[in-house]
Amino acid sequence: MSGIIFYLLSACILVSAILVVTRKNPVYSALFLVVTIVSIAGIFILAGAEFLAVVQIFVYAGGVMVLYVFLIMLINLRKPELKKRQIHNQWLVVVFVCFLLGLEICMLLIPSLVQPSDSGEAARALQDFSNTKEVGKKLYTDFLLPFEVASVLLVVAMIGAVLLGKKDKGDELGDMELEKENATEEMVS
Amino acid sequence: MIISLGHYIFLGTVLFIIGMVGFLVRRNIITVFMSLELMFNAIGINLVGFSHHFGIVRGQIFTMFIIAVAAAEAAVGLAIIIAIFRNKPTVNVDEFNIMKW
Amino acid sequence: MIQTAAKIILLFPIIGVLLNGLFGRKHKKNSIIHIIACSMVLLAFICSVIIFIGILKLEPNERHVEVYLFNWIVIGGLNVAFKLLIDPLSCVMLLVVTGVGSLIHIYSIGYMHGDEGYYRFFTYMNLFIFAMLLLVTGGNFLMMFIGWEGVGLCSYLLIGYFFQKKSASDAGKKAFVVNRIGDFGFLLGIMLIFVNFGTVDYLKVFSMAPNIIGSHGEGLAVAITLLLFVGAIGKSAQIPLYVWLPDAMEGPTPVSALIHAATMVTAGVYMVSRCSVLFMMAPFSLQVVAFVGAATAIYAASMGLMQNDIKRVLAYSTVSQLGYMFMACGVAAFGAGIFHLMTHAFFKACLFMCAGSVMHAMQGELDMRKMGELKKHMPRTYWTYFLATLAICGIPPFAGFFSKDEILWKSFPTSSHTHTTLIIWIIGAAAAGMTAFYMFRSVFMTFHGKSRVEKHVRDHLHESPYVMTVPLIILAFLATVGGFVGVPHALGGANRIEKFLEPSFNYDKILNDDMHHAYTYKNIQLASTDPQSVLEGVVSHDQHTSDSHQGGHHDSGELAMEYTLMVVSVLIAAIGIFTAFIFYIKKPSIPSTLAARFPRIYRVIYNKYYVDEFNDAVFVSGTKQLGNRLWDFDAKIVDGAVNGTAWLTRFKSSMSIWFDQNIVDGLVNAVGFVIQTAGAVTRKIQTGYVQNYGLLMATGIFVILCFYILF
Repeated sequence: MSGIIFYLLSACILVSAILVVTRKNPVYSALFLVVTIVSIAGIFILAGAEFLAVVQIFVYAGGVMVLYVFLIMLINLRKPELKKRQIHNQWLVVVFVCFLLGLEICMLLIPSLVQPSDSGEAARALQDFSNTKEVGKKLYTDFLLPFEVASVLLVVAMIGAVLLGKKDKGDELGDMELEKENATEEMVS
Repeated sequence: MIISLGHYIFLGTVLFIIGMVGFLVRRNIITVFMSLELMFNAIGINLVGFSHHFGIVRGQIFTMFIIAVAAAEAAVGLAIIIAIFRNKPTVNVDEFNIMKW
Repeated sequence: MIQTAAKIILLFPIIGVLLNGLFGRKHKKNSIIHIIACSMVLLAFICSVIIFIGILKLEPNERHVEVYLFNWIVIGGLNVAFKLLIDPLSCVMLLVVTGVGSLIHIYSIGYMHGDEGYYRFFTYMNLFIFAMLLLVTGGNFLMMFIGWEGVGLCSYLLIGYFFQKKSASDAGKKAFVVNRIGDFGFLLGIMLIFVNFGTVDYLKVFSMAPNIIGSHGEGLAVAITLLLFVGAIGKSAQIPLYVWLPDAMEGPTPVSALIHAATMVTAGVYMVSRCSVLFMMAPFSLQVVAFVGAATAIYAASMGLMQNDIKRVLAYSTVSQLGYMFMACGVAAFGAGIFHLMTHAFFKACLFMCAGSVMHAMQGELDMRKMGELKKHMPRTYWTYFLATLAICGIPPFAGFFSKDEILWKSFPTSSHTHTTLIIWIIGAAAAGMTAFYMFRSVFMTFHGKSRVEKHVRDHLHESPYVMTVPLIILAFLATVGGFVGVPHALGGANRIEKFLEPSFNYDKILNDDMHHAYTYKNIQLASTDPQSVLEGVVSHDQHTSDSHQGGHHDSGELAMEYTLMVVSVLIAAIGIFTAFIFYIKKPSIPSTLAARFPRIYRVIYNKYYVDEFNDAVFVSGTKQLGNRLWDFDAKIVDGAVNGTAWLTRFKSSMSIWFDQNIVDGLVNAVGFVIQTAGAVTRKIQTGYVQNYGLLMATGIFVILCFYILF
């Protein structure tokens, strides 16, 4: 049963991944990426990482992708832009190299395909095994330092993003704000 | 059918390759970033597959951190794109070639 | 006394040279110049007399006094001192040189009067006297050589005295060069002596001679003497090196008189006589000497028959008389040779000076065909010339008769004359006849007959001043009575001169007999200082020794022979005179007719057998050619080699330049070029596209994984 779901989900992932890469309109790419992420979350659940799946959906699909969509809207691409060729000149070389690379990685890791392994799932199912509890335990004891550092990293990223995205004078978005302010001032005086 | 580690690895590899192709081929910078996210996810699949195989939780924790870092990186990257977009109103990677010899 | 006199005798002429040479130019008053010059020579003459008296006081076997002045060369084995040897031979030479020399100096006062280079003339004359004194008094071969070269130099200076005339300067050069050829042989002879004897000192060499020659064999003596004789040939104008003497008449007449009649040319005879010891040990050389002398005598006499220049006649006559002297030496009659030298000095100097007087009167004309009947205008000159001519022809009782006759007698082969052959006597007699002929020819053509003098010269004919004619008279007197010191035994005389000279020719016996007296200076104290008694004692002593030396002379057969030969020689002379008389006084047409009958012979003899032309074509041109070839060689090959190396150096340097510019700099440039090109190629990786870089990274990962898989 889990095998069929796995295959289904993986097919979904791969298809939507390909679609992400090949769409001209970035909005479409974003949407398909969301699909991919959700499918990956499903894989996570299959692999017994429920907490991670939820985190994935919250953070990735709910946060990062929203961010992407905002950005696409902000950039405000016109129709003619989209008509332009979207694929780089070097695509043939890239496909070739990446194919080879994929082959290689498979070659490295294939021997393990042969051995089916016991996931020990059955054993765990017997216990009162909670993935979230496990993750939480490990996170706050063994991996405390990385956890704190990750939070600092997020703060820094936030500050950086705000700084980089700030409005300057002469900026299209900024001008509208300034015009509005000036208009308000004129109305007042 | 038993899902072995190999399946997870295979899946992760293929997804990674797809992401890499998109990263190296696409002209639109936003699409390039999205391919990057794909690659991150492929890695996550890989790690979770290993974690599932060995019955250990470490892989998942690693993946969590990767997700966190990916989010931060996406935020900063997109802010940079905005900054660049103010100077040159284009989203084509091809046109950012000031560093050309 | 001899020592002092000998030491200062050399000083006088040198003082004269220095004073006249350094200061003479500024003196406009000629009298000071000639006073200095003549007085110096006269003082030298006085010293010679003193030396002569001193020698007479010594025992005959002890009459060799060495006067040591200073050490000259001390190198290794060669030890040569500056010393003089005073012995009878050098005494006679000293008297002749200084006596005749001083008379000629006095004569020159008148002859050179008014000449531009008056001081130069007297400087050279004094220098000549000095060199000649050095030659005759020198105590070793090198001293003689110094004097030898010195007189050669002075002869060059004086012959070329009128150097503005090309013929005169050429003649001076010719004399010097021909002399030099002889000097080369002379020097080789001296070196041979030094190598074999270890010394060049006269007395040492002569005393060692019997031993050394005995051990090395006769060949050594022949070699040495022949080489020395080569020098004599050059200096004394024998065949083949006589060619300079006739040309030397370009010089002033006093020069011809002093150098080429009386003194310098006799240096060769002096040298052969001095080395008589060596010559006696080499009979072959004696024969060579005799033949060369005889041949020269007749050869020169034949040329004198045809000459028209009065001085040339006298020059050839000199060459001929010198041949006589060498003939005498060649038959081992050294004393006779020196005797003839002395008498020849008297009459030849007189003849030359008379010719000068004639030239003076004729305003420089010397061609006898333009003279004639000068007897009227120049009586003193005429009579002195006539007396001197009688002397040279060998008419008794004049000086020339005794000396010439002595030579002819000694060259006639008899039992006591062993070194001679008949042919020598015949040649000598024939030459005597020719001498008489041409000398009287000159007398008749110059002073007798009808006057052929040109009109404008005839008006100025005058006798020479006393300062010129007095020396002539003195010399003519000496030519008349000078022979009496050598009257032979056959005529009742004591033949003093030959006895006096004899010790000089026998050093090998004298020095080896009394070894405890050998070659050291001796000064004998005599009991009586009265000169007369001393002389008498000496004479009686001489006679005592002479008898023991010439034992076989009183043989009656020989005496008869001697008388006969005497008469024959006088007859030959008389025939010569008579023939001349016929040819030039009675029938003056005969000479020209004869010349017309035998034109070719006449032309050959008149042109002096074309010897000068032959010498010029062969030797002179040959030397010039050699010089040209050597110059060629130097310019082309030697300089070519030098230029070649220069070219090679330049070529090498151009190669270095090419190498440096192209290869060395090329390497440096190549490095830069490589880096530049590498950079130009490599920078193209920087495309500026991030995705390109990403692709490169993917490729890199692939490659690393390949390595991982494979290894």
